[in-house]
Amino acid sequence: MNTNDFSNIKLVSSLNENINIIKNIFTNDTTIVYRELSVGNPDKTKCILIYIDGMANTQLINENIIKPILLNDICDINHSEIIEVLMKEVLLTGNNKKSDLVDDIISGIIYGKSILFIDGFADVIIIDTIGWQTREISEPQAETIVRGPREGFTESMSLNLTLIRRRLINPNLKFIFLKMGKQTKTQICVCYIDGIAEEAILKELMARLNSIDIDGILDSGYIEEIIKDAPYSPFRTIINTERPDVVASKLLEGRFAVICDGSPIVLTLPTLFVEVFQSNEDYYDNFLYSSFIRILRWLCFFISTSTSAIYVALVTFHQELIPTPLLISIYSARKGTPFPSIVEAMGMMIIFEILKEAGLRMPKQVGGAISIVGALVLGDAAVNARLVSAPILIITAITGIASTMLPQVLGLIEIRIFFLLLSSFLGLYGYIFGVMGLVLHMMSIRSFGIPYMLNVPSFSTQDIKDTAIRAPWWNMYLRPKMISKNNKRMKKK
Amino acid sequence: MKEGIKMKKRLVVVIFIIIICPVILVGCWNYREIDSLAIVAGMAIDKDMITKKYIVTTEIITTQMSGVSSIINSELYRSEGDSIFNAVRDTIEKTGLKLFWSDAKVLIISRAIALEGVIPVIDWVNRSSDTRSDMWMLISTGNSAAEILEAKIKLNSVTSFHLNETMKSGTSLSNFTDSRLWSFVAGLSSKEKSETVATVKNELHDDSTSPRISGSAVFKVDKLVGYLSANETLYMLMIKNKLKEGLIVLENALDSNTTVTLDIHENKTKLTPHYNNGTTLLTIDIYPAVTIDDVGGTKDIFKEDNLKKLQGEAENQIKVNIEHLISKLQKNFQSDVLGFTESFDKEKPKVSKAFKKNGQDIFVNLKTEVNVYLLIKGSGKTNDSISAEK
Repeated sequence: MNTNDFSNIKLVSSLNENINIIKNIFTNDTTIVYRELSVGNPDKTKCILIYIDGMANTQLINENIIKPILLNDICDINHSEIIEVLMKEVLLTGNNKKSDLVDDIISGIIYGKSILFIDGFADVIIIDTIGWQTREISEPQAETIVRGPREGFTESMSLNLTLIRRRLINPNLKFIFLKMGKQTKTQICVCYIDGIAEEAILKELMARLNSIDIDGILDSGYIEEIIKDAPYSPFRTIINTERPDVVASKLLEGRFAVICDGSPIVLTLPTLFVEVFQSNEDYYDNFLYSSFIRILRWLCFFISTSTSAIYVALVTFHQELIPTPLLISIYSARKGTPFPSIVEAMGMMIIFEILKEAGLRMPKQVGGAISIVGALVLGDAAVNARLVSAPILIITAITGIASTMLPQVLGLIEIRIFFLLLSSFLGLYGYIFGVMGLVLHMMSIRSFGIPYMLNVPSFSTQDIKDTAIRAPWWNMYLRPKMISKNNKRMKKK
Repeated sequence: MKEGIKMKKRLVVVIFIIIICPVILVGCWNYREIDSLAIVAGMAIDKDMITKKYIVTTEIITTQMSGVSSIINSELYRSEGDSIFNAVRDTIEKTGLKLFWSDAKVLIISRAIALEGVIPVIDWVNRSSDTRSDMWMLISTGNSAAEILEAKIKLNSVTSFHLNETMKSGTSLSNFTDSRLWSFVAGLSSKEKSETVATVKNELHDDSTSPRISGSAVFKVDKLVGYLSANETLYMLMIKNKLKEGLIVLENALDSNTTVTLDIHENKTKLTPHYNNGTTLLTIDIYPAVTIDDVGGTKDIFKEDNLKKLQGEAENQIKVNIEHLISKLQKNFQSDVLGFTESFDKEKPKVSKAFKKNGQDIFVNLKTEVNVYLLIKGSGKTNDSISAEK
């Protein structure tokens, strides 16, 4: 069978024929278990239970399906009511469904459900016995924090939904389920709080999700890239997280979460630029400290995008702007090095990126050796051999480290290269040119209708409460404007 | 439809090329790597009196790698020319690198040039877009200007930078004037007012010579007319209300062999011009606040009447010194570096206009009245003189 469409296949009342239909679909699949059972006196109706070994919970099947069917003391079952009797009085499982759609049956089997075929009926009972192995809940590697909940999402969507639900005990927490991917039939769930989230954004999100036509979805990254605004921009207009507490806080602000089965990464939207600078720990720690860290992150954004560009501009165009002692130390470091400053800056930046990327993908055991070779030997030897000047090494290190300060990944490297190229042939003039271009670009982006730079160019006290600083909780009585429908977070004191 | 898109694409490509081309072609108009420069730390200007050529000596920073660290040093380059700029251009031949003037700190002019007039010398420095007019202007006395730069100081391997540091610390010494090139040029604009410039000369200390900035040179317009000693410079700054800090030493205070040093840390001077029937009079009220910094003897000066006496002695010493300075400037130099004429211009404009009409100089015949109101504010950490067991 090559097609995925089973809607033209109809079940019949003969058990053998029905089993043959299933066997034809799962040709040569030895993991499928066909368990024959007989139920009830006096005619001992033949049944067959089908499930996939490994996907379904075998213990549950044994205890709650097979055992009660075989040991039931309901002796006289009217044959025509057998399905109802089984569902109501025999099966000990919670979620049972009657169905005659082959589509449902097939996807149910694949998903780990058990199907009970009964001789003489075109209907079957679909029993929820999903019990595949999932990864245990653990702390996300990419978003480590010092203070705050340590749970992280796993690859199982039902578990992920539990994690969110446990934080928002609220009937208004709504879930919309979708199936996506022609081949993979991946479950997608859109999650929001009714009454806080804007319906217009929901409508737009659903429209975008429904227009997805793709073979398979293996991670939420697929969805992000297909539905996001400004797809060519280095900035992220949809942000993601592995932490249920982060998702809960975004939902409370009126945002939407998109959960994709099989991926621990949950998307939240609409996204603002300031979210790049917000870490969940900011909200759990003292607001003074968090505000300081926030400001530090903005500084790091500037450092990591601009220092190398400004350095190259100063050293090759505007030596007059460098104070004398600094000028002399740069001068003495540059003396005798063979490459122009821009080549040095670009080269060291690329080497840094190589080291960084290699460090990510490398087996842990090799990591230490590589970082020693990369950092100490390469850096130190290059300066001693006068291949590169020491200041550029320092600047590369600073920009590289500063870029890891931001809690969310951003296209910093693209911006850095853009600025560097501009300032290398136009000096500070080119750099300012680049900054203007970048600001114009950022101002023009929207994420699901919300301006990406919302609240950033504002100096009003209400707007900066969660941007440049993190105001104390008793002072943030409003939810972010435009995103949420109802603006009041708490009573104003 | 397809044709339209193709045209649009082509148009975008053409516009892109047009934008990129000028950026690449003209972008490098001022591109120069930092290591292709010769950083000038300072310059000294002499004149060959026989050939009438200017001799420009530039101090250029050199660096030398020794292992990981680098040693900063300087080299002198000497070139001659009919004009300053001519000589400066000649230096490039010798260095091979373009001279970088933004960090040049001092401009030393020899006494001989100063006597002839400094305008031809400072014009290029003031005019050029490479040099900065916040360079310190110094007059070398006793040595040629180049010799000042030749001296090596252990504290700072670049002599010009050493001179720069010394000039910056000038406010706490008040031994020489704060003579920036721009303020000298600005001072030239008024006819009556004259400027003073710090003087520098080499001194010998156990085999090694080092430049010492002390005292000031008095100019009349752009010509050197005389010198003031370090002490006289202090009183000059006091009259000009530019004194920030300074020391007054009272020898044999209170008729004993005790020497008392007073540290001026605040000073206010008020000039009040008067005109009465053809005579001009200027009242100079001086309000210095001092602390007793050093008591070089056993005399108990902290008794109340002794303190009063000490105050009187100090006031008297300041007054005598100021009167002496004024008469020296009036009689010997006829140069108004004190800004007296300016105060008449401001407060008695009619008088000064009348004087100018008659071609009379207000400054030379000006009578002055000096009043000093000294305030002793404290005496450091102790209120006593160190005394032996009674």
